[in-house]
Amino acid sequence: MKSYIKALVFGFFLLLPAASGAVVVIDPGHGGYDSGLVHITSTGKEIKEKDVALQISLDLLTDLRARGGHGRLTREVDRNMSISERIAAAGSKPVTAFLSLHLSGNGSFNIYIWNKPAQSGDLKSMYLLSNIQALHVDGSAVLAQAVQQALKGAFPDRQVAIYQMDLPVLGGIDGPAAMVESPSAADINYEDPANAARIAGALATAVMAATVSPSAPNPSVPAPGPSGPVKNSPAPPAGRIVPNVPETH
Amino acid sequence: MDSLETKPEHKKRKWAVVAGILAVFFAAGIMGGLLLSGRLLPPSPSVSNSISSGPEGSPVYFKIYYPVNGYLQMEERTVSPAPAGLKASALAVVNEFLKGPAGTPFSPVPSSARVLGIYFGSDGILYVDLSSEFRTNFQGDALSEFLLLRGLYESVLSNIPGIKDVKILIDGKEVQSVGGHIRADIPLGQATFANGASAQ
Repeated sequence: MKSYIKALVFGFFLLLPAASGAVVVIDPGHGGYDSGLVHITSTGKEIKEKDVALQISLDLLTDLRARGGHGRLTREVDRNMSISERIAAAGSKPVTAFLSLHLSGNGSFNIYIWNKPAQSGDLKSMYLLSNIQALHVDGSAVLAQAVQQALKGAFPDRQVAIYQMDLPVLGGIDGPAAMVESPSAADINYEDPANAARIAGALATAVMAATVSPSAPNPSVPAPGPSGPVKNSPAPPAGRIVPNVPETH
Repeated sequence: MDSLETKPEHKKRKWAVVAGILAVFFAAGIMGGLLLSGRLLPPSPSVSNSISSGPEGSPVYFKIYYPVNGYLQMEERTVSPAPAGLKASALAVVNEFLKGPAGTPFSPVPSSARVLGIYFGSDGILYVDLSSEFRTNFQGDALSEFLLLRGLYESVLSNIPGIKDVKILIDGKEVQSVGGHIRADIPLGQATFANGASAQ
């Protein structure tokens, strides 16, 4: 009898996150007519960003579920989605984490997070649906740092940088959100499924670490600095300021 | 007795005050009407009809901004003879931009893209209608797309006076995005945070 009660209690706590809407949303970038970056291999085969993003996303979902997490995809097949459709697919309820997966144009991992924090007192700005991410800049920074740490662990030879840019796909997400660009198909052989699985494994580790305690940052993840999300970008482009942008108008 | 003699004077003053207040309200009404109809507003800044150039037939120099290695880099382009009129100048600037940076084997500008039309909006926005190749032949990540659109914006604003922002159309239609990362259904200055507003 006692074992039944134990099982019931365990099951309740296992299902609680799903029932309360606590879910990780994974957004495979591009799709349909929008192939994203296309790499042609030495054998003439086209490796398309939309397919790689979907493969990593499916692997990530499987990995998350295997670890007891709850997740869903914005698209499960090869179809085009607008940015607003992706935000809508993430749902109107708060999410535990949102990851939009893409490829970069080089051999490094790039992690983008929202830049603009909510202005206190500016209710319109704070609750504008397209700007709701402003309420989660700190949580997104924690998520980005967890992703950075996990990817560095899995790919020690790769550069993993965090950038702040108000990408529209992140703006309407009610919860910690980041866009992750994996190295291009010219730099990683995605024909070998183990590579996509390796990236997905690192992302699953990061998501689980960042969402263990939603109210407090995981101790293993460095907290964001006092002025907001940490910029850790060895490459020049960071934030809303583009280097070398002309001042003459 | 004095008070009796001064009573009509009081009445006159009262009427004068009432008439004065009514006159003020009447004047305010007229002014408000004129303001609402726009007759008293300062004329909205209009796009001037010419850009500064030398004598007729002389060349004109345009500053064109391209994404190069994660930055925007300026190239000076000479167009000779100078285009006549603002619309021709704007067209020349966008055409120069679409040529891509000189001496780069892999241009960040989508290949085969053409200008289909240039329109000046009364709101100070330049509408640039591009062929579908600008979208279909774009190959890049989020930063590349950001810099491409910002480069077009900077190129136009640096050379064409009176333009406040640039909006692109693809085959005459508004599109939500060129490469799937940055919004293109709002003017480029807003989409790339150049004019104070963030992407929304």
